[in-house]
Amino acid sequence: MASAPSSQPLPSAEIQAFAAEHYAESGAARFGIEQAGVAALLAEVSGQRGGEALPAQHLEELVLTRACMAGHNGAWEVFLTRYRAGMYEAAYKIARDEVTGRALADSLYAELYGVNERGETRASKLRYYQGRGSLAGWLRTVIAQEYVNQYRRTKRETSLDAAVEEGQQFASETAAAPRLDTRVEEATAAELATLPAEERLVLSAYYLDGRTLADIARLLRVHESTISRRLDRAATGLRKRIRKRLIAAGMSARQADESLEETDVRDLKVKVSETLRQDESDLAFYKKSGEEG
Amino acid sequence: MKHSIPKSAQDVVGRQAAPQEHPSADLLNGFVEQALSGAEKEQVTTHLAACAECREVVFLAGGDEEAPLPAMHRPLPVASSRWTFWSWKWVVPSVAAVAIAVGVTLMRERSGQPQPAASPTTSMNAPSVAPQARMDETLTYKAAPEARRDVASESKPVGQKKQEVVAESQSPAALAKGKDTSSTAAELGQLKAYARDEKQSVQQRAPYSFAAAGAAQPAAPAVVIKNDAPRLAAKSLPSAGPPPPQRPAAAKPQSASPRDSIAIGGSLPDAFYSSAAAAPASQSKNEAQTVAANSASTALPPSRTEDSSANVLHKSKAAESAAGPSEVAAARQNQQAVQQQQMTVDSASGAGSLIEGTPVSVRFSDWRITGDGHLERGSSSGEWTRVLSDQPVHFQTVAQVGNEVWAGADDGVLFHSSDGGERWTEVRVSKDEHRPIVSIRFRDALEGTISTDLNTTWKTADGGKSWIKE
Repeated sequence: MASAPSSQPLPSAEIQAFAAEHYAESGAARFGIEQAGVAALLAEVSGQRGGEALPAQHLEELVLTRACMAGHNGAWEVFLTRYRAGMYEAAYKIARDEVTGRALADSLYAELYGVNERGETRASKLRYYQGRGSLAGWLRTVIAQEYVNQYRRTKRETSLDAAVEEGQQFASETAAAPRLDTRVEEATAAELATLPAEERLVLSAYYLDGRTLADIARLLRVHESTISRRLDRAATGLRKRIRKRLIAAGMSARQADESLEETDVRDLKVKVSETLRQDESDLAFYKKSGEEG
Repeated sequence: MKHSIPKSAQDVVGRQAAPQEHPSADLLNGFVEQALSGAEKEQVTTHLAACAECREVVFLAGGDEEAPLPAMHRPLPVASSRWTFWSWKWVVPSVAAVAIAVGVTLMRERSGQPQPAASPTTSMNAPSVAPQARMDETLTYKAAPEARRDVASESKPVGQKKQEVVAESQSPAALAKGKDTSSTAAELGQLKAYARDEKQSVQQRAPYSFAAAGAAQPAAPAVVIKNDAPRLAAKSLPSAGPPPPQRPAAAKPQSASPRDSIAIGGSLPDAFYSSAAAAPASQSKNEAQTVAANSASTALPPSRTEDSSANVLHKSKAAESAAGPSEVAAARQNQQAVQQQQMTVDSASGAGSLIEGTPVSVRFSDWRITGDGHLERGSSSGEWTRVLSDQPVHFQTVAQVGNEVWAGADDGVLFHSSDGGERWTEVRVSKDEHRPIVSIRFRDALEGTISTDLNTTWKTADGGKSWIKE
């Protein structure tokens, strides 16, 4: 989904009218960008966004990023004044460690500036900003992405001493978890597929990641009790519907109940780790990172 | 664990294959800030449900701090520090004055004492109007076509006219030149009457907001009625109870005198100017005194009231000859007080943009949704009271039409009050609707629509008893 802008589609009449209407408020004039330039920028972004609504709310920030990409000193001054402090603060909060946070922010700043080792045209990471949300939020998200990537990279680089200490050379092969009855699996998969995406997201965040109700509520901008109700509803509904499917598939009511019986929840966590190819630990990623940070 | 799904479901959820291609940071940020359109949001949500890494990113990017709410959910500013200061300076003394007057009147009524006769200044101009007649005038004052026509015939805009009046009245040179005192007095009367009208319109709204806030003070306007001219009482009557849903379209009798128009058309400065322009100069002099007395005794703090009343009574003896600079200054002071009160009331009603619908003749309470999803009602003093705080929901939107207040929350929960927010009932548009209600639009008390965040629209034509999906 992430793709760098490549083509320069011609602005449509609608985009040109939009650019004319919002040119003054976009602040493009102070960076030497003419109305035609704003229209071209909008056409580029609109093309990348599949014709979604034009970014009127964040047009000024979009123009600022493009002016920074073009190397406009005034634009960089504005950018640094507005976003530098927030960028570093967000990096500290995400990494929960001043050194790591500073390294993250420095690294991102270099990428935003577009340092090119081969001496070719400067390619700034700012070109990926398309104005769907605020620029400050985009910077936070980029830092979070970089942090997650960095965590994955560093966790693979286990030192020999650490491996010996952990006794990895004596580790036995992990026993494969017993698979479920295929009928149960099919019925469950079919029922889960009928759930709305947001319900599945709530289930994943709660059961797989171990997020709290408050965390999920904050992300989805709903009340904590709403998440609680949704989980209750999902649990009750899923159980009923899966049981119904199992009986329809030939199981007796008792067999269906037994197959749906709860087992040790640790089994789930082992499987989650395997499936998501994460770490050996049974803890969710964010908890581990928090402990280590 | 309180919430438990079948283990098989947990397994299947856990075995979801993580997608190879991840959404861009721009899309993820749009999801965090809830700025994505329907298709993009669905796409990203579906991905997040299956991708632990991206879930981690969005929780890291948006979890630690409160993300900015969308514009429609953002709590509106209560008032700037400037207006807050003025609200305390003017509203509190005004409320105190009204409260004292209420108490005094109630005590008099209970003790059976005869009502004091109206002051000479007021009785001089106050016709004896039966209460029912006053109400009729009140209900029909807006429909007076003559007043509008007179306004239209006035070529100068109201603001310009006011400025001219002030400038001419203030100018000592103009006074020294022997300007026609009767015309000056007439213009001064206009100025004072305008100030009175503005002050009354502010007063007329303020008590209603108190009543809606739970501290009903139905007697407050009655005090004004008894202590002041009946015309003022006629104007203040609607605020004693719930305002009529719609002003009747009955036209005011054409024989009504211009002075009646001045007194009745309180909240309409244009109506005043139309009548004042037609009023003879001799009437305007008396009108100026009446207006000053009325406005001083109704809106100003007690000490200020005494001063102003004394000032006006003193001037009533000398006003026949000329309008002095001190009177002009007093009028300007009154006008400034009115403006400050007006600003205070306007600034306190910060949630106006949240309220949709077509208000007819109702003073809205101020409603807002806080950043953490609580419903709050504002008072004219700038204080916000949390409403339905015991409900475990996250409010999304609120709307008011008349006394009907609707508040939408997440999980498809809708709350309705038919008495301006005193008593609430929970309404379910459908047992299957669990999406947050983000928009409420009511044409009147019965007919309206609500929308969820997925643009599902439900319509009612019976005040929320039944809902039809559109």
